[in-house]
Amino acid sequence: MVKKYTRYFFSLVLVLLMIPQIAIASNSNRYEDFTNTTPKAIVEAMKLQEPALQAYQNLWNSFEKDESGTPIYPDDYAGEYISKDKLVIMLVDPSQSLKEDYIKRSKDGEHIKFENASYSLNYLNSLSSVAQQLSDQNYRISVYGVDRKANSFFISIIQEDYEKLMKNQSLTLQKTIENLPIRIEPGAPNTSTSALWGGDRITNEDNGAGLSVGIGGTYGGNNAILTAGHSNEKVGIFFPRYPYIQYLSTQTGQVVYQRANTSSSATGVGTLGDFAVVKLTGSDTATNKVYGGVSITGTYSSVPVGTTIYKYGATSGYSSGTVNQISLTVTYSDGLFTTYTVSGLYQSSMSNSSGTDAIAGGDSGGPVYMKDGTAYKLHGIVTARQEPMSGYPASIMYSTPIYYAVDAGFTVKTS
Amino acid sequence: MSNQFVTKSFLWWCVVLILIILFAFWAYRTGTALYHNHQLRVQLPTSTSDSPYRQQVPMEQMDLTAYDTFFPKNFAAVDYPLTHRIETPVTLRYYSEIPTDKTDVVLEIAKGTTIIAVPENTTGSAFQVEGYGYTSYPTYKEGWRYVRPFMTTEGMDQAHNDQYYYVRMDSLEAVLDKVVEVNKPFQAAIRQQGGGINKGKHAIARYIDNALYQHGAYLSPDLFYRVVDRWNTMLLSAIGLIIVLLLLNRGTWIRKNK
Repeated sequence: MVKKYTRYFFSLVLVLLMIPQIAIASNSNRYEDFTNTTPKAIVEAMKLQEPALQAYQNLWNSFEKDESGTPIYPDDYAGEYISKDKLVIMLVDPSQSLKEDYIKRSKDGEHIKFENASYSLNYLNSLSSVAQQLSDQNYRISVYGVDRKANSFFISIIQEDYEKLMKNQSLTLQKTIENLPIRIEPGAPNTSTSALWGGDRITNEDNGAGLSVGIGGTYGGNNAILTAGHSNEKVGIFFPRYPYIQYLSTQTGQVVYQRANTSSSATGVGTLGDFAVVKLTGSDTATNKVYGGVSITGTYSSVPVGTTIYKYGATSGYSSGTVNQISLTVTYSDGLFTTYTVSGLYQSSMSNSSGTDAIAGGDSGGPVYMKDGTAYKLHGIVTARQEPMSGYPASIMYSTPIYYAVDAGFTVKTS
Repeated sequence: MSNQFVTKSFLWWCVVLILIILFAFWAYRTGTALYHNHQLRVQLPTSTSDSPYRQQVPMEQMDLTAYDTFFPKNFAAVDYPLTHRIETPVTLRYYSEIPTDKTDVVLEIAKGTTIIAVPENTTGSAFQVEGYGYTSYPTYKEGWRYVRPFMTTEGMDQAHNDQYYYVRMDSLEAVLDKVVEVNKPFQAAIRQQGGGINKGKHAIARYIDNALYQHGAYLSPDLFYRVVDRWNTMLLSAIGLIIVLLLLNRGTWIRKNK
């Protein structure tokens, strides 16, 4: 009995000790100076490297650059790396005169070391075509590039696809790369750690469709974002599943709820609105932010004709306008096979300051919001646009009011 | 029962089984095509107005804007990463009329020329523009289409592109094959329909024909499935060959089966 209470007591003490630490961590400030927390060994190493880094800077400046500012390396140059206080320059068959040339470029004879390499950097960079070929064959590559120290090219393919590649193409692959300095290895998918804002561009991984983030929130207790329902239908014939969604070319989540009616004779709740809820499965976070520094603090689903609204789309950006019609049933096309017939939509006339398209492909799912006093409230998300007359910018926008997504279980983040 | 007898008998049944399978396959393909064609005829919607096609107005005199209302005007605001420019896999020959032996080619785009296959900077569908490239109008003759030619990346003046010409459907389908091959969104859209890649390409190449049909404006000859196509011809040839072989070796089978 005494033992049991002792355990409870120590657990309680532990929890109490954690409270100030959590408080300190949550109080961290974006402008806080962290230099005093750097370990001593790191500070010393940085100091030791300073002359070698300066030599590298000089070397970098000595290279010609292309239009984008990327250096054009000489054909004998194979890379470089820092080792203690030395800059190690790797050269292919370096002669004495070549070494002298590089000492001249780096303006430092004392902190330079040379290493003989088999392959030039230009040649190693050209091997990216192999990675491209693998990518074209739908193998998901997490990272590829030149391993400078190893003087080789490496391609890291995510584990699942790596196994597939080894199983299906082991011999062909070996034949392709046997005489090339290429290392193929299994890797893990990269995860991004971004805060997703309304108006950010996201991509359906399965069909490539580009859409916009509407707003962050929760769905079934999980962090989620709202976007358009069209182009986010289930994929696969035998084992249909909802598509995966990417942000900045990295998988951020998967659609868990989708609605965009395609039957012209359907009625009922399933025909109301066009939206999809994406559950965030990576480390990206949902926010109540919208591009332009706007913070959504509430919703205003039902607005009357004449209300002034704003929208932000990943392609056309910011535009503003007025609600023309409400509760419409609109038929719109994905441009090829699928025709959607969706009820409960709003129609608005939009424009932007530059007189260009106020709504464009890629804006679907973007936030439509309004100002209520000093607060910004979410009205809904972008759905479709009307084809403009030749020579005129696209201005007629159809949007889905937020109510339908809320009714389906999505909670809009308001702080 | 000798081993030889078992082997011969077994082989005979195998050949018969193959014959039945080939025949069933041929019957299915032919039956499906005949049924599809029959359904097209009986289900053609009735139109209140007489379309220029129904009045047999020559293509050159036809006001194609009369069909504008048949096509969608509202589009989902989605952005697709499309490869617009490809090298044409076949030589495209455009004519000012459906050619006879002596008709000259008015415009020729050589195989390997880079063309703008998927229209760029569209205000409507991202995949197609009615009357351009592979989105052609049907004519009154099967296999011939009426369309503005693909723009090339070099040298083609706009006047040529505003002009409609006649072109073979199979050459447009060859371009479409390549467009689908290099564009994941096309493949995804076709898969979503669940009918196979060839059926999808067939539908894209006949986009306008389908719109005209749905509005009762015209039953295009290109909408019909071919009853006698390459596959059916091959199947029928194989069936005939097997039957001939069976008949020629009839004596062998009968003797061994006694």
